[in-house]
Amino acid sequence: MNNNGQLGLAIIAAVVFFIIGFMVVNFVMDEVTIARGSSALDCSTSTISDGTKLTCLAVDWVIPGLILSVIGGAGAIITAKLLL
Amino acid sequence: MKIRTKKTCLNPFWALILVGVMIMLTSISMVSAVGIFGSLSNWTNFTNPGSGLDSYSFSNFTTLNITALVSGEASTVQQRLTWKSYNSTQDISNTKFIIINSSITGKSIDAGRAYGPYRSLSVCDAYTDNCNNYTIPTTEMAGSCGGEITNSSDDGIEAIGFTIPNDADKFYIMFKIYTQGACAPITQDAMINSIIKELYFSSNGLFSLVDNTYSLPFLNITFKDESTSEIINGSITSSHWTIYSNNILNNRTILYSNNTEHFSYSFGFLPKYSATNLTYSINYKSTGYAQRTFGETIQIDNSTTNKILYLLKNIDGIYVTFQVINVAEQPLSNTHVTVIQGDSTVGDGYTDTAGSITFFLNPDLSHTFTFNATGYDLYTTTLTPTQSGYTIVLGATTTASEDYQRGIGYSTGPAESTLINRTDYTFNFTTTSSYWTIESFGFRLYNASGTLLATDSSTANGGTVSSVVNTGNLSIIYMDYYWSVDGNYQNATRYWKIFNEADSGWSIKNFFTDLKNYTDDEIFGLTAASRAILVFFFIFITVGVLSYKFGVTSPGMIAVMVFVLVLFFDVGVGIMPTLTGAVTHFITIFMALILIGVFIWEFAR
Repeated sequence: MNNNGQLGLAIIAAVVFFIIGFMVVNFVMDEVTIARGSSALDCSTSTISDGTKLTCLAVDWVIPGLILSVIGGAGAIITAKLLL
Repeated sequence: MKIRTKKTCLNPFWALILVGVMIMLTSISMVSAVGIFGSLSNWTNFTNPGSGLDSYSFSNFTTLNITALVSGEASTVQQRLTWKSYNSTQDISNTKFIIINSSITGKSIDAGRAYGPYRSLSVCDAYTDNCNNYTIPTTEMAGSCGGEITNSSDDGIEAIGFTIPNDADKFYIMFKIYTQGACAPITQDAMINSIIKELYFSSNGLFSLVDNTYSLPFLNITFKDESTSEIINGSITSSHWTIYSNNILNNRTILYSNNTEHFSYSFGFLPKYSATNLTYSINYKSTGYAQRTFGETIQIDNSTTNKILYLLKNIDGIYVTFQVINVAEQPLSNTHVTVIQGDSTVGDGYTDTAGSITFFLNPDLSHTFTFNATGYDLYTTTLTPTQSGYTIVLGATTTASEDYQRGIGYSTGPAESTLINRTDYTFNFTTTSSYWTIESFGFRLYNASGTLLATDSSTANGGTVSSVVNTGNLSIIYMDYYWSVDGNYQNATRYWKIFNEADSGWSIKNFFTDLKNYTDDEIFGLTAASRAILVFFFIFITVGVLSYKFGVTSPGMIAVMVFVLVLFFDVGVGIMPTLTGAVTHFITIFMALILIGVFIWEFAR
């Protein structure tokens, strides 16, 4: 496969990675909302324990982290082919 | 497939992974660096478990407790008040509240910022907002300035008798605590916060039937046979009473019924009550007599109003229905209709949504009917009701009513319709008038359950009244605002929905918002100062690593990176510390000036 073919394949792979990645993000969103809600971690209440607050901070990172990973991963697949 | 590698350039994929790992490591280091950094934090607000509306009975001595928990600066101060009511005459004006217990425990931290000896109580008339103010004695707090108040208690020392202004049956108590401005002599500084507890007297004793020994009856009702004018026994199947004093917004509605037949009913207030206006509607009947309805609005003073309600025997009358319509044949609801036979009012009521009202009348006698509908001329007619139905057509009125909103301008604040939770907002109501003289104006703030949050009012001819309220975890705040012109109250309601930032989505801002809140709450001992130092380390390490890995040595580019990170943390997510008295986002502006200076220096070179 020549360079153009490899680049095209990389773009397709990046798009698939991007779509699947955001599908996963979509699934996790509701779970994060439930986890942060008053019936679970109750993150918006100041009286929860420090350990729970630490867990809340970690949960806060899940969605942004996944989005960054998906965008970064898809971008990396294409960029890697461009640089090679 | 031919695979080539290039080892000299940083792969963007791994660069992103590296940045992510750095962020995660920094996050972990932020929360693990507990107990290292410490600083003073701001005072926090009261915890107020006692706020709300309480029924308050005069039948026994009653004890009220309000506990104000004030926490901050590594200490907790708890202020507790207990008081009792004392009333021996069943008269509101003689009610005394006596503080039987007041204690303060905890400790203060540094001189000049001790929790104050300044505590005050205000007892306010809920109708007029007039208050009687009292300062709690402070001698027992003299040693608190700049030192510890460890389990200090002054139980039983304070004894303040305070009374309810204007004999109001509905009132509220405000307890305020102030910071201490200076130590020697002790001065009063800014108020930390206040508790408002709204109370009203139990309605159980509002009415006393016949044997009213505590209060002069304001209304005596006697039943008579319409045909013979003989006094007969009657019962009240249902009645609806609306009473209020100065402000109709503070009216009280009472339902009353008594199926036992008496020849008269006497109504008075128990205990004595200062309401001056009464609107009532009574459905009454007697054995062998048809039920009738009567209602009116009267002024309550120190005299007794005697009212005779006439009943007609079933065999002597017929049901007559009147339908009131306008010239367009549209039914006029809420039209006030009175029926007079001789000198006696034998019927009174309002038309329903179909414009109809039914009376039980004697078909052998002439009656005078009066129809009064808003926007229409008063219509009076005399007829002998021999038919079962009549139609009354009202023409439009030719006189204009007074416009009490003429020249009135008003506004409420905050301007935005959605507020953020756990935030202090100044709620205000501003009114101006270029035509009428405003006699009074003000507002009341309520939460979703109707609990009074704050109130303010003024008797000036326009101006602004305001009150600061923390949105806390409320979901909505209602403002009832009003102004009085020429004895007429105009009022309206506005509400603000409280937006909980925690539920705003899944943005990365959640992380920084939580981080800021948690550090404000001193998670693992992490404080605002520690947070600032961690942000500094994050910027320092990030710029250093990027500079090292990508060979960025230009002062201009390094200044750009630092500026972008400072801009992100200060303006973007708002976790950079605010310098007291400085310009907003001073750090970002300062970095921007440095950046400009570096660029000028680079170009000049």
